[in-house]
Amino acid sequence: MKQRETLIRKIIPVELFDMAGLEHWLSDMAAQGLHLVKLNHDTARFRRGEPVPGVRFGLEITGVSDIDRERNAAYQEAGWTYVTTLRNLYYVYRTERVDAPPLHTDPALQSQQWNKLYRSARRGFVRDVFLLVLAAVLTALLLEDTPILHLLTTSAVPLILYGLYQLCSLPAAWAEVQDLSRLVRRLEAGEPMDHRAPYPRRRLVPLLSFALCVLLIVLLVLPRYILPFLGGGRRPIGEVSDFSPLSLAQVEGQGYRPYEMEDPDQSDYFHYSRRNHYLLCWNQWEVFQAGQADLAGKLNWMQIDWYDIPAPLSFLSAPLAEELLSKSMKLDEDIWWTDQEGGTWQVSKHADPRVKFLSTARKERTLFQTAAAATGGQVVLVRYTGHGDLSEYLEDIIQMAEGGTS
Amino acid sequence: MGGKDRGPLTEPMFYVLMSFLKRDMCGTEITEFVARKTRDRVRLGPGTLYTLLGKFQEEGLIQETEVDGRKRTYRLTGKGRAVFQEELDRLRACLNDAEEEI
Repeated sequence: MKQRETLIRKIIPVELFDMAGLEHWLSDMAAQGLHLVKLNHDTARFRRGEPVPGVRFGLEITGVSDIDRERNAAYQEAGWTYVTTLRNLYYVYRTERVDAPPLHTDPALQSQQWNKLYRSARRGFVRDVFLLVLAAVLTALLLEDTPILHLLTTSAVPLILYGLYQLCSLPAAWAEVQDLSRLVRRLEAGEPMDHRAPYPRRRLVPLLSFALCVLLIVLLVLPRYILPFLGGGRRPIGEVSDFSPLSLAQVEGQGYRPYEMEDPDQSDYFHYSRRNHYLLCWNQWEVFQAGQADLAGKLNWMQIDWYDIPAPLSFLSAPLAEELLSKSMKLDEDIWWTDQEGGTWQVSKHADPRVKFLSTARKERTLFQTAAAATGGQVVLVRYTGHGDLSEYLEDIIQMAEGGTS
Repeated sequence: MGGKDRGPLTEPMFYVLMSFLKRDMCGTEITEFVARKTRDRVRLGPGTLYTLLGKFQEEGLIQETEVDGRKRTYRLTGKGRAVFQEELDRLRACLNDAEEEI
């Protein structure tokens, strides 16, 4: 069985457009016995062998294909051996022959090739600026209505991180465009390219940049496509593990009859709890209960939304509760909610040393009520349509905000 | 470069076109011709030659006549000859201008 060869991977210490620095570095590696096998955008892989001083490397801007056999044959005749291709950027050649001519001897002609690269880098810069603006617009749209809720429960944070990353990358990208522009001008003036240039021993930027990119991709994908499936879907209300939900039966009092599914084998859409996970709010519960009270065509129901805020963000709990309450009062178009009935909301604030925020609201002359409470770590919102009065259940609401089951 | 819209030819371009005046040529022969003709003053790197042949072919200044394994032979087209002649006339004019001033 053929044994797989162990290759040595190194971070490329120069910018990829710094052709002279890159050629110089590859030559130095060969002189140390590290012979190039594969070049990626951030790293190079080498095979260990005998040190060969005086090896020269030549980089050629790529054409349409990854391997250009015809070109390689022509270069081979002149003493240059094809080594590898850096996708969309360079073909890499090497020679040990002292008499092999440089790959290019017509700077003006070479300037036309580099001009293509310069234009491509310039387009890349414009694209980066566009992506930055897009990230800013998307973030603004996400945070427009309920900024704190969206910050905790959507992809807003990774999007902001991505925007910051783009913003930090722009100066370097612009410097690269400027370097290329200068190089093209020098070549147009007939000045040949350098093939040796000093380079730093280490460059951590590509590694950090790569790690950040991976992290951002994970963060962008996780909240949208993975986390929602980890909560477990609808489950019985008795399975709520982080707090004791206020019961609709308790608020409605005597005569309460739960809404029953016509088909008892079907999933109960009228009494359930659901746990959701978000990046910055790992446990979020939604509890729904419905009854059969006669409310002139309105559904007798209660929904509780409960949020567990991580300690470093506990300062957001009171603003979130206030925001949820305000959003709740504006949800006139929600078919389960106020049904666009007239009336203004009467808001009552309550003081209690155990909570940072406690407030109830009732749409006057209607059955629609809402309440919100926040402690340092948890926030709860209750929306209710029924005969009871939420302000009589402040103790229960506080207990939900404090978390823990009785 | 070369022709009214191209501007002047560079030296390697001029000599590569010159190499085809008397007969068809392949890459190695062109390199040898240019080195011999200019007494090694103008050297053609493989990248320069390869790029030039591709460019000249694309612009219709030369055309491929034979492919024998890796060896490709080209010949000058009428358009290529005209471009070369135009550059030659330009260089003659430059030379005359300079000699008049000496």
